[in-house]
Order: sequence, then C-alpha cells, then structure tokens
Amino acid sequence: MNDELCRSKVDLIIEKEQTEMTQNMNSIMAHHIIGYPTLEKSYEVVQTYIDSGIEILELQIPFSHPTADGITLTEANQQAVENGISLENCFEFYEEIKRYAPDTPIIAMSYLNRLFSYGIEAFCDKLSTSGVNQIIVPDLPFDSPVAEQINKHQAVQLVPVIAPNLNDERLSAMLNLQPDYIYMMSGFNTTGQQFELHPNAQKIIDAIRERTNAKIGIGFGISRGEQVKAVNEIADFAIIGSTLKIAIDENKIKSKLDQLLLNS
Amino acid sequence: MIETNTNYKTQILEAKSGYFGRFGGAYIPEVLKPNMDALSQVFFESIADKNFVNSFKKACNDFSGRPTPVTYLENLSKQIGGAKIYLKREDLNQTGAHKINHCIGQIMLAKRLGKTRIIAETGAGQHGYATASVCARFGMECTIYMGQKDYDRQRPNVFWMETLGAKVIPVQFGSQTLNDAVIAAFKDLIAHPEETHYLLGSAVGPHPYPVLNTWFQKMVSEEAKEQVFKIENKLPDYVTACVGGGSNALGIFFDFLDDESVKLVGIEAGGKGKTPGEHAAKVSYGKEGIFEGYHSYFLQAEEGNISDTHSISAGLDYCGVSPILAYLHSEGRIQFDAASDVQTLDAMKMIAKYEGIILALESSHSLAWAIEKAKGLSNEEIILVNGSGRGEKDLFITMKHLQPESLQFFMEKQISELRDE
Ligand SMILES: Cc1ncc(COP(=O)(O)O)c(C=O)c1O
Repeated sequence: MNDELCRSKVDLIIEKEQTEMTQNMNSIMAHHIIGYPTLEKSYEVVQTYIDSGIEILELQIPFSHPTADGITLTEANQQAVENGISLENCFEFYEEIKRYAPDTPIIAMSYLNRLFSYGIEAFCDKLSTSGVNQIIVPDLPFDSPVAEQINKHQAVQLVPVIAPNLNDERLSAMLNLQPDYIYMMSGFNTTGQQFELHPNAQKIIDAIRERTNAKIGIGFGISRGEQVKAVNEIADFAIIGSTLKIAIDENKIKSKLDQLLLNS
Repeated sequence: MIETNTNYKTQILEAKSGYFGRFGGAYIPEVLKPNMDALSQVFFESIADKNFVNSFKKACNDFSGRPTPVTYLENLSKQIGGAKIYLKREDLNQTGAHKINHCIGQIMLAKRLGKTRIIAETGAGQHGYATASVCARFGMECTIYMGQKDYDRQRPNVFWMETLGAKVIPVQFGSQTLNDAVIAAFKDLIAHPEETHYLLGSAVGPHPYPVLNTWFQKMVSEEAKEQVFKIENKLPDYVTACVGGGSNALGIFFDFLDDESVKLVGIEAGGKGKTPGEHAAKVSYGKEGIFEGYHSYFLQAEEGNISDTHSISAGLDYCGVSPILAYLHSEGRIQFDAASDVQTLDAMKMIAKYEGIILALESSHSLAWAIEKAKGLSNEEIILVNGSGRGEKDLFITMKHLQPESLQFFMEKQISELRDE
C-alpha cells in the first residue's frame, strides 16, 4: 500500500495546477472518520478527495460516544470503533496520507477522552511526528486547563470551534491564542442537520478578519453546491462531513464531489 | 454539638470555577458556554437570595412532603445483631425518590432564567418521571430523551411521563440506553439554546450541574443529622448511599463532610462481576477520564472509548460518577465499595420482610452493605442509610427474579383479556 500511496510531488503539483487552470473550484475541507466503513476503504476515499481537488482534510479519530456529532456521523464513529480502529491506526493513517499528498493540510479531529487517555503531551508529540500540526477537539473549551497543555505544545495547535453565539469577550480570548484555523458552526445544530447560516455569522467573521489572517471554515449541515458557494463567499472554506459519509454509503462519492467542488 | 475539623462544605460550594481539585470543569462545545455560564450565574445568585431559598423549601414541603423522616430499622437491626441501622426516607417523596429535590430546584432556576421548555434524559424513567411531574406543576413544556432499549423495557414509566404531559423521545443511536439519552439531550440544547433548560438528573455533567444538584440535595443530610441526633444524642458512625451519578449520595453525605468522626461510604453497582460490561462501579473499577463535560472516573474500554455498563437497578446503570465524589474520594474523605445484584435482591427482601418497606433496588445496594457492616459492629454504633427511593417501580424486574412464573401467568392473562376486548 505504501508504494501505491507515494506519488511524486511534481506529479501532484502539475495536477493541481491543471485543475486550478481549467476550473474555478470551491474551497472545501472534507471530513472523514478514519476506519469508516473500513480502514482500507478510508485510504481509498481520502485519496479520492485529494485527487478531486479538496483543499483541506479533517480526519477524525473514531470515538464510541461522539457527543457533538449528528446521527449520521455517530453511526460512522461507532462502525469504526467496532472495526477496532486503534490510535496507532490513526497516526499511521496521517503519515500515509501526508506521504501521498504532502501539500494538503490535514487537521486531526478527536474527542477529548481519547487524547486524555493517551496523555495530552504524548498525544501531541505523536501527532506532530505523524505530520499533523492542527487538531479540533469539539468538547474542549479553548481556555480550559487541558487546552492550555495543547496550546503550550510547540508543534500542535488547537483549532477553536466557535458558534454564532460567541460574545466579544470570548472572541478576544480565542484570538489571543493566534490560531491559524478557526472552525465556525453555521448555526445552532449538531452535524448533519439542516443548513442555515445564522445572521450573526457574518458579524463574527468580520471581527476576526479585522484582527487576524486566520483561515475560517464554516461547517454543519452543508450538503449542496449552492451552499458551498455561499459559504465560500464569506469564509475561506466550507466543511463537509455527513453528506460525504452518505455519498460513501451510496457509492456516489465522485459525483457528489463534483457537485460540491464546481463553483458555477 | 458538632465539631468541625475540615472545610469541605465551603470548599465545594465556593468552587465557582467548577473544579474540585483536578476533577470537574466544563468540557463542553463552545456553543454551550453561554448557556452554562447563565445557569451558573443564576444559581449562585439564587442560593444567596433568601426569597429563593425559602420558596425552594416551601415547594419541597408543600409538593413533596418534606421533611422526610428517618426510621430506625429496629427489627432488621436486631435480626442482624450488630449496629443500629437508620433509614432516611427519601422514598416517601413525591414520585417516590430523591430525584424530585433537584428537579424542583432546577425548574425554579429555569423560571428565573425565563426558559419555557425543559428537556431531560432518563434511564429507567425515574428522573424523567420526576421531571415530568415538576413540569406539569410549574407549567413548563417537557421533552424527555430515553434510549430505545430503556423505552421498550420501562414502558410503564413512559406511560406515566406521557400522562403527566411530557413528550418522550426514544433515542435510536448507540447502545440506546442512558448515555445516549444524555447525548441526545445535549444535542437538543445545542439546537435550542435560547428557550431550553436541560434539567440534568444527577450530580454529574459540566459545571454547574454537580454543585447545583448537590446544593438542592443537601437538605437530606441537614435533616437526617438533626433527626438522628435528636433520637440518639450522637452522630451516626457510618453514612452510606448508593452511587449512580452521585446525587443522593452527595445529598446524604454533604452535611457530614466536616464531621471527621462520621465515615462516609458510597456503594456502587457490583452487578454480576468484575469483568467490564458486568457492573457499573466507576470508582472501584473505572479509570480517570473526561467525558460528557466533566473530569472524573469513567468505565472505559481501550484507549479512551467508553464501555458498556450493567446493573440490576437501572438508576445505577451509568458510566460516570460525580466529580465531587471523585474529589472527595481522592482526598480520602469518602470510601467506596460495591454490592452485587444478588446481595442487593437479598437486602431488598429482608427490609420488606422485617420492616414493611419496599425499597428501591438502587438504595438496596447501600442497605446490603449496611447489613454486612452491621454484623461486625456493636449495638452502640449507628449506620445511616439513604433510602433514596421506593421499590414499587421495580415491580417487573424484582418479580422476574423472585417469582417468574407468577409474572408470566399475570402477563399472559392480561394479554388474553386485551385480545378478547
Ligand atoms: C431511587 C434512586 N436511587 C438512586 C439513583 C441513582 O442516582 P444518583 O446516584 O444520582 O443518586 C436513582 C437514579 O435513577 C434512583 O432512581
């Protein structure tokens, strides 16, 4: 599998330039749960994302009780846990994907207890040696004692997940951490529900833009091309999870990606 | 009358950050932060406000029959031939358990916050039942989340909740039990943060729930301390309670925390054995972790995944334990032990036979421990047990264990009558 995954950097760059030239594409961060539906298939799916022109990857470590995910991703998490996906499998996955596409940024995603049980510092060390320097932890407030342990780590940065009810004080506290990426929930939903961009979203984005160059992604409930386009107009990228999971189940991943990526 | 050597009581009530040592905290998605902050603020304001405290007491008295008595279990104690066992009668509350205490308290906070809608999780249905009751009484819309498995096996409780006007939603993901109901309730709160109060059912979850439910339960020990002292002219030597999440345990322990002579013992569900999945004993066999918003002990599988639990009593069948109990355990202030399903059923039968009390299976865990412990003590010594609930709710489970044939006969008869109608 390793050999297959390794392609030359030159090939990749040429391919990327070609796609950029021929089409005007949406920026997307594609979410995938490592080990769903199987570990083998996960490699295949994520490579398809990369080859189709996905800009950023959000690769989630499966958890038995994903408290902030909707029913679609909860099922996928549980399937992956049942498949026996270990943390070691996940770190290896990061390494392999990094080798396949060194220029595609990877953001790890995990619920807190998986980091905690491994040891926060050891986890961050391992993550960064696997080639990943960003992590989303949905149940970890960015200013809690455990978050401070991550923030202190030289090579790993916490990607804050914020919602349209973020007040000015919390916004400032968050920006003081100087994140490179910010994940914004489209509204008050869990993943996979109806998409609706909350009226406060624009205000918060403007406030962030005024003070940093952090890349802002918007996610939760995005399933159609128009929505991706709308999000691309106000943020740096759209985050897509549940819809892609459903596309995997229906074996329609390529056509779904085309729909979402084409900015026409 | 009472010597005070430590200051755990103030320490706990003044932990406005929500941390008890390294335990506790509020490990929640940022989107829930405003909600938890508002709840925390209104809670600390309210408990400093005499009017609120008085209305809370009045509601408990008028609606739930407080103060509940303590009963000296004289026949049982003499039968065992050791220490005197006293039972705090939380089983005599409205809806039959201590759960109503924090339900009354929380719904009053929700009113102060201007909320119009209450949501709650329930396992067996006890907490959902108490929540539906206060919602009817205080005029609030009520939605209860319940794992599909629990929904099916506790159908009589679903019926009572619906009769009280609640909407009961079966949760179809995960293992379809209590944990999944908690997660579903948090998801509802994320989707409807403005109008909703999540009435969480134990001293667990993110800050301020652990301290808030402890505060609404602490009158149990305040009453019991006075009641036992009045009869015996001394404090109990041991105080014991069953531990699911820890709300009834903190209720009966709280006022004794600074009385060093009083030993406090939490009894967990030992289930069928020590193998993972066969019990629900977090402190005894679990590991430290951070889950469902708080840092405490959890039953865990490999590498931080959460594992399944088992107990004969649905109320103890939960994977986590109050961070306040975890802290007091780490300080050496509270000891933990476990009672098995079999020991629990025996205790339940004994108290029924000798004292005429049908005790909940949850509470029968701590009674089982007390019966064993009493044997080795003198009749000068006193064990106070929290009788957290009554056992009529357990009809189908206990009958299945004790008289399976009669249960089968009854059910078949009912079904044939229904068919004939
Ligand atoms: C009668 C009774 N006792 C005890 C419990 C356990 O909860 P906790 O540990 O929060 O008191 C329950 C929970 O449903 C209960 O119904």
